[in-house]
Amino acid sequence: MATEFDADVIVIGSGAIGSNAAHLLAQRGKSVIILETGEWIPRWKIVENFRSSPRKNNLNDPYPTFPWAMSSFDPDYIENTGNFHYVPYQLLLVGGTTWHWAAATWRFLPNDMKMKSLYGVSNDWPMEYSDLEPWYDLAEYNLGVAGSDTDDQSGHAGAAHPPRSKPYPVTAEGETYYFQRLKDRIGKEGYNFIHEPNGRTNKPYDGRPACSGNNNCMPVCPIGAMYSGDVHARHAQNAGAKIITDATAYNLEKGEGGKIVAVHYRSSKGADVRLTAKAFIVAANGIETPKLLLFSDVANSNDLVGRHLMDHSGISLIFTADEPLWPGRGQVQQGAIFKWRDGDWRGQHSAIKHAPHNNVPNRDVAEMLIKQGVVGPELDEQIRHLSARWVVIESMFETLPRATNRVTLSTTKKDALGIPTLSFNYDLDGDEYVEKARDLCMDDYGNFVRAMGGKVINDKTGWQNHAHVMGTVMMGDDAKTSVTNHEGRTWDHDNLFLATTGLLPSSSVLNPTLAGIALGLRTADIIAKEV
Amino acid sequence: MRKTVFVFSALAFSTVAASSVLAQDAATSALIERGRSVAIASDCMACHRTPEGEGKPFAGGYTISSPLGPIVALNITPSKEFGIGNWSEAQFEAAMRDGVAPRGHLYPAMPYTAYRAMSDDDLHALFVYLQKDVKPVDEAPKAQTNLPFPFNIRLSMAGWNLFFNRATPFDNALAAPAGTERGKYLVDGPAHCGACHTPRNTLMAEDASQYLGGGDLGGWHAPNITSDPVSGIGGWSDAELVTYLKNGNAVGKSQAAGPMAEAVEHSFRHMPDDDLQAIANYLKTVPAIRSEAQTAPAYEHSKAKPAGIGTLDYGIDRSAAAMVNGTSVNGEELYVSACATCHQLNGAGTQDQFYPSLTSNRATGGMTPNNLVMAVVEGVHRKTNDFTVQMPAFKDELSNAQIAAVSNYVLQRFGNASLSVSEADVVELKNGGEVPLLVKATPWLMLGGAIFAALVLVLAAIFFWRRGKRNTLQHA
Amino acid sequence: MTENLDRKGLISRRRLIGLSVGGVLVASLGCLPTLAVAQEAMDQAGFQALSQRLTGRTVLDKVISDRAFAALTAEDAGFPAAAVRLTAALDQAGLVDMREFKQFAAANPELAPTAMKIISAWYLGYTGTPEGEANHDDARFVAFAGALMYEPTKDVTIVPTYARGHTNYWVDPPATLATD
Repeated sequence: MATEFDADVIVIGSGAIGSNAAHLLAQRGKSVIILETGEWIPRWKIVENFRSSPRKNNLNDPYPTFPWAMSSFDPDYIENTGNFHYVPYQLLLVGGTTWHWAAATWRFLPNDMKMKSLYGVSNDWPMEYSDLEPWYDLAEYNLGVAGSDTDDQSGHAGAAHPPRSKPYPVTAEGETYYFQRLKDRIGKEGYNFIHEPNGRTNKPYDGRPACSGNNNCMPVCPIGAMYSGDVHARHAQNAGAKIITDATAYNLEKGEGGKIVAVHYRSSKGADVRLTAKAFIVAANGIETPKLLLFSDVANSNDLVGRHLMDHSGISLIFTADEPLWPGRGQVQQGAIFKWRDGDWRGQHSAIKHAPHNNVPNRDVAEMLIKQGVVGPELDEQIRHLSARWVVIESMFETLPRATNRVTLSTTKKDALGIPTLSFNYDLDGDEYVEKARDLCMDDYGNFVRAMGGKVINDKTGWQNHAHVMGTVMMGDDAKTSVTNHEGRTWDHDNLFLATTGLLPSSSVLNPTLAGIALGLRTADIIAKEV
Repeated sequence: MRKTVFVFSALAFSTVAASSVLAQDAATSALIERGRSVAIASDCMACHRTPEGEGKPFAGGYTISSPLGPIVALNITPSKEFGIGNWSEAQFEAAMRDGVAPRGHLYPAMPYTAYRAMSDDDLHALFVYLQKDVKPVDEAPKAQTNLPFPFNIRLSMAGWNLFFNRATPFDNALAAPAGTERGKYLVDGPAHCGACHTPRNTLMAEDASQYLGGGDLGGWHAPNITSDPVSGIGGWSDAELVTYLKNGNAVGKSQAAGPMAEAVEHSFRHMPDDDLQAIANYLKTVPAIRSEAQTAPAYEHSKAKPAGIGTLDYGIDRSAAAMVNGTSVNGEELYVSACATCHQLNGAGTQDQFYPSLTSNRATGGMTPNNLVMAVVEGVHRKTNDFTVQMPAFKDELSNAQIAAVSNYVLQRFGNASLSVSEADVVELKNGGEVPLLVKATPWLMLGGAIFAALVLVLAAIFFWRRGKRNTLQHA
Repeated sequence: MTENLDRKGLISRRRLIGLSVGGVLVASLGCLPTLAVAQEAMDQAGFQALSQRLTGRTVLDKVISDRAFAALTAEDAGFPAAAVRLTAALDQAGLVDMREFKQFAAANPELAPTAMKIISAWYLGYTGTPEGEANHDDARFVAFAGALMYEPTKDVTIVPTYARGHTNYWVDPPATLATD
């Protein structure tokens, strides 16, 4: 029986993952509709929104929040019931949250994908590294990732690792003087400085200019050197995909045989539309994806949707070195410092990724000095003196999937479209796996400060989150313990796929977006062969 | 003994033969190298490339948007079926000097009117290079030239050539390196500068009375490069001219964009410094042409008038509806948020001029805003020997009205404030610029021609009918 | 949340404050006659002069100054009056060099916070307390590229978002390294 569909595939979410998947499908000749809650906002406008913001420490501030598309920073949107106040900074506009990231684009190591069998904790991924490798290639090519082809990213100063079939599409950018000095002095203490592969091209790539150190990756790259999802939203559109903005999906309609037959969306202008497709991809980030599934009551026969929420919790260190290093020249992040990256001890405590931050430090420095009552010529002198020596190290730990750390629907609040808002339960205190790593991290901090002849400004930041949302719709090879199989295909509905970092069954210490894009491309490829 | 002698003489013979073969190879190699440098100077690759750009050299398929319609470059690899592999050298010369290829006339988008001036030696070397060193690509170009009637009648080129293809070959072996004669040879011959920098007459031929006085090309403007110190390059130092050709950037004067960026990328940056110096020397001797209204050179035209920091730094309406709205046509707002990031709030560019100054720049201070608008629309992409320059294209991010607004702001603040750009101007430039009179007039000419022809037929009919009647009467 | 700086409204409020508070203050403090005439109430010019004094700048941008004045007044209706008192106290102490501000602050603990608010607005480019993870707070925009905190390092680093030069310029230390 011939059925007419509105599209071959409907993708919910126009962020980096959804847009890359949609683009692949459109290139293969499939008709694609992308539904996006937010709007197209041109880059210049976001730059203006940022420059005129009185709260530069607020990464969501340049992006509008609407009663029907609430920013996670809207206090009415997320309630937290756990002992960690978790507020991820997701964005709702065409291109998604990668409008403000630092474009860290790592590949998970083969060992990262085998946490259970190797170390007895967390989960194994339902695939081999070699299954995902060609999709990492494509994702890196799509984004124009700059990386080192010689680094051992497992931090053991060995041969290049993980294995690659192709070199990075862009060679690594030049090392900042700041990074060179840190590497020189701290490296001697037994720490491995690794280049962080990043989506900030340093040569013109795919119509984007080369990064020249505007030092503002978060919250917006003013020139588009840094990759953001709108690049592939536009590519997808040019390849024939249709993007509908102001379209908040709220229901996935089930039909015969467990198939999803339609998606319903609402707009802020009161429209309520039903669209049909042969296959559906929910690529609405790790928070909104489980929200849609929960509200539609799909893919959740095992009550796992929204559970196992993992972020990269961490702490950071600020100190001043005894020599001028001049952070603020070049990109905001450049590399990682590995000592605890991979080893048997991962059965007892988390791995640690330290990342030196290269932001222009004047605001933090001046705020501190003014609070101390420093004024006049001394204020100007101290701003210069301290800014030149300011070192910020941000550290991330691996968190383990716990069923009680979860995303659920609020039972008390709804947004302007009548869709429930969110409730998180995220417990971190008392988590030994992470707390043991934190103690080791503090030792590392002591070593860093000593190596740099430094003076601590702040080493008691308390837990910080990094908006790396993982685990909420975990993939696996057993329908009883996961939400999707290795294809991103939900166990319950064979034409419903998920493409989000929420799929990741273990978190490691790496920014997960590239893995999310690789998985999404792989899923799109599978769908392209079926519809 | 005889065997030894035989072996010895065989060895001697083979050595002599080998050395003459080697000598032959050496001569051919030198010829090929010379041909390669002629191909570079002639910038064959600017047109005879594939549409994708990189890829198979000289395989053709790239489309030149001429004012008369799209013209597709041919495959000039030595492919026998799809290229020039079967051409004799005489046929090659006919194409290069007369614009006649074996399959018919070429359009002067192929600048044979300039190549006509190339020396016999250079033309020969080029032929050898194309036939022997370039890899044959056995594929037809993906498109074919198909101009609208009546321009698709290639035979009409014969008449046009009679009037306008009159250059004489120049033997550059006599020209001293880096000298003005060598420079003239390069400018008028291989580098065919006049093809863009000399305006065209009504019949689309170069207007010799305005030699190198500036011409328009698909929205872009190729500026006046005569020796005039105000309207041309008379005020540039030789070093600046050479640097401009080599890198596409003369700091504080001009940066190559659009078609000139391509010329730098494919041609000039590969040429020896001597030749670039020769071109500079020659241009300084080209008869000065002054634009009537121009009183100061483009790079001195404006005293930059940046607004105060308090105006360039401002708060905004932070309601969600306002923050999502990217439709403003306020030129200052657009400049600050879309341009100042690189070109700086005061328009002076970065200290190292990697991001160039807009206050001392031909694109903003010259006599036409076209290049400014085109740079905003299409961006600038230019590969040099050191790095690749890229200004992103803004045609997707900014509307035509916004492009006009920001261009006007730049002209007012940093450039020639007597110029202005309208939304309609932006649309016209995006569509390839002003339509030449010949094209605009063609429908009328055709109509006129048809009416004339009809008139002739009617009169002839009347004449013969009357004649017939008279004859009939006479026979009565 | 709209930031609608209604200058007209402020002016009329200011006049009111000026009439009631300024006159009494001036009389009670017994300022020098000339200053008494000029400093009846804090106005934009007065605020700019005060700002220049507190930041040690001979000239500050008037537009930013007016913006800072409006923001500080919107946040605290008593600010203009406090600024007047501050000016008077600075005059009385004869404070010219801000290196001596610490002594002044110790002697005038109720006025020091007003001075710090003004200094903070100019250096940091905002008033109030910005929230890092919520979108409602009392912060107001004053300046960004014009914020004074960037001036001491502008030969070496940038105001974020604005370019400094070519890709990879950062591999070299700045020319001033030896004396930094």
